Amino acid sequence: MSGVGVVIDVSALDVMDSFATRTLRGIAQTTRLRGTDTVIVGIQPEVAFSMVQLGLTLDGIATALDLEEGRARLQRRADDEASRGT
Amino acid sequence: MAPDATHVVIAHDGDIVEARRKGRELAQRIGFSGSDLTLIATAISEIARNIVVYADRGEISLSEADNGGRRGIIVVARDEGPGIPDIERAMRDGYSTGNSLGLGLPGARRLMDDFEIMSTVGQGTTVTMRKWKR
Repeated sequence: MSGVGVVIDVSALDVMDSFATRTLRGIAQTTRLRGTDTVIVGIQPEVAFSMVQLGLTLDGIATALDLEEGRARLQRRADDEASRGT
Repeated sequence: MAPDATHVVIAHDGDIVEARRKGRELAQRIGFSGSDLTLIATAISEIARNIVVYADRGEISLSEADNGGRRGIIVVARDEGPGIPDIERAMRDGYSTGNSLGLGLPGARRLMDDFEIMSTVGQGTTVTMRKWKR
């Protein structure tokens, strides 16, 4: 298995401000242009709460609870595309 | 400003991390917990980032507030940068002159209880934010 996607684990971040969010969006958009999906994993509960208060969204970017779920999600998507022959 | 205020010089990205770490520490000593610590750290992060992006350098002061027995934290961000010509606009969601998401100032206001901003073009900007313990 190679190159089905990018997983970014942000569980070490105690804060996700608008700058960090914009950076992540930029990475996801760039990898998408290169034909690869990105999944953000590990957003801590307090961080998620704070992002909502701040009005931050990760529109169009997949998220998952943790690394395992993120990998599973990318694999499912790759399998779907393979079965559709795209 | 209370004499026991903690001051953090803000000039580089690393200073932003330092400011929110010290803010979180002080908030914890004051008795804030859980999600409030993250809200305070995030608000500090937003206004510290604004200093780096728009003013190059400035300072953040952190101190304890006491309002008739109600404890809280005061965060003051000062810079001598270009100032904000239209504060009303800068406080609006999605408005930015700095190629950002435009959520910094309005977002920080939502995270805290009190939020005041004073800015003079050519002289600088001071943001004062407070959050009270529930």
